[in-house]
Amino acid sequence: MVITIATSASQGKLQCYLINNDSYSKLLVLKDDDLKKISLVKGVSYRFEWHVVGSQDAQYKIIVKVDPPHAGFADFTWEKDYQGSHQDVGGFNFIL
Amino acid sequence: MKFFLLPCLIFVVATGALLAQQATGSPNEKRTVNSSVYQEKKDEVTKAKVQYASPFDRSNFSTIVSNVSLSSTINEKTTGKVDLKYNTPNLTYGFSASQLIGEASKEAVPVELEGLTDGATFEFNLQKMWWKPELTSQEFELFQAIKKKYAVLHDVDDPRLVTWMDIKKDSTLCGQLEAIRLRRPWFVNVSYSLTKSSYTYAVDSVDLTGIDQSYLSPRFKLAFIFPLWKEDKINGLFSLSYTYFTSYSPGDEITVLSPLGTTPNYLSQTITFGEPTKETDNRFNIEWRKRYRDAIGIAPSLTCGINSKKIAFSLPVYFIKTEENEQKLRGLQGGIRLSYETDMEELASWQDGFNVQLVIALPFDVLGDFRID
Repeated sequence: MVITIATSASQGKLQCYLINNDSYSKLLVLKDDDLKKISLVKGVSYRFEWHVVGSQDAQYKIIVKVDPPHAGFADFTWEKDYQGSHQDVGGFNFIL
Repeated sequence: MKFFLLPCLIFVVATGALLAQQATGSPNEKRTVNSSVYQEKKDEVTKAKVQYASPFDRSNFSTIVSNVSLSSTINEKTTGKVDLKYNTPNLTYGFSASQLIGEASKEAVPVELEGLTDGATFEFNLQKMWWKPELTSQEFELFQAIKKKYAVLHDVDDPRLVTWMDIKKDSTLCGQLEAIRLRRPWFVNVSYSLTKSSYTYAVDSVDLTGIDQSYLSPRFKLAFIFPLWKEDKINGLFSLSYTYFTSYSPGDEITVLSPLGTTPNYLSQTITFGEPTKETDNRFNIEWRKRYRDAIGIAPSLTCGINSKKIAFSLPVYFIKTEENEQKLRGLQGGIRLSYETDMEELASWQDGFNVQLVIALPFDVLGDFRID
């Protein structure tokens, strides 16, 4: 199974991580406007985490898909506009 | 010659590292995603950089805009300077050339075919942003637990979408977030410069023949810059820097009266006697930078020279206007720089130690349209 992550950041900084919880190794690091993919293993726990920071209005978007589709991971789209200064964090664990 | 090669080598290595860093991922797909957002993309740090930019660019924090400037110091020569900067999301780098301009000069020529001209300074500057925000496992698990409570309380369909700032708005849960520390970005700035100076001096007290000699004075600077946050807003910048500084000081000037042949007249000749002496200094600087409203910025700083045993306090006041989106400086940028310099052992009088510098800068964006991807 291949997970594909696409990110975009307008007027702000965005950083995304895909981490293997079992070995605590960073599989992917994405910054700002980026697109990366990697094969995942069944039964392993993964962490998807993202951070944004900005001192003005900014827009961010993250799209994550698993191919072929899997019940353990529904397609994920996070899109947010921030007004003024901000620093935010999001993330979740999942197992395929 | 070796002083010329070193900055060129640094530039080539830094450029190569930058290109290598940006070459990760799938290039074709990446270009497609990037193309739609690249036109509008100006990162938050860009705004902070513009907000805290100075027309002098003498601060630890590098300005991000290319510009041409003139600065004039009381009782000293005027300096013309050209800055060429290129910006990426994490990196600002560029070259600058400055040249002392005499009263009769109509142009500044920092470089000729033979190399640097007298009084010219060439500088290479690299500024990198550091930000490693990932949470520890414990922090992330705590965040998940708080998020779960929030999703239940607010009946959220997809709890994966809940973020830190959503929870912050919930007065019953926001206190629990205090156990999780958010990491802030910070900057490292490295610069290397060469200044050429020429002197005419005599070493023989009998024939007093003048010797013309040129010297290159290198300078290396390392600075750490930390944005100051007040809750979620960048409230200013704080920086620490170290500078290895070299310069050459001319020998003492003497006036010699020589008989003019067999006439009763004398020829008066002023000449610098003795070879210029090389001086080195290790300087430490601390600076705070803050902007008030949209137009005025201040950057008080304290510099201590270990070898020279001198200490200097300066208070630059910048008059800066930005475009409405605060991504670009607008019009002429100007400022005034008040400074006081004294020996550590004996305080200089206000008249001797006080200095004022005026500057006018015209920003331009020669490299702004270039893309690396």
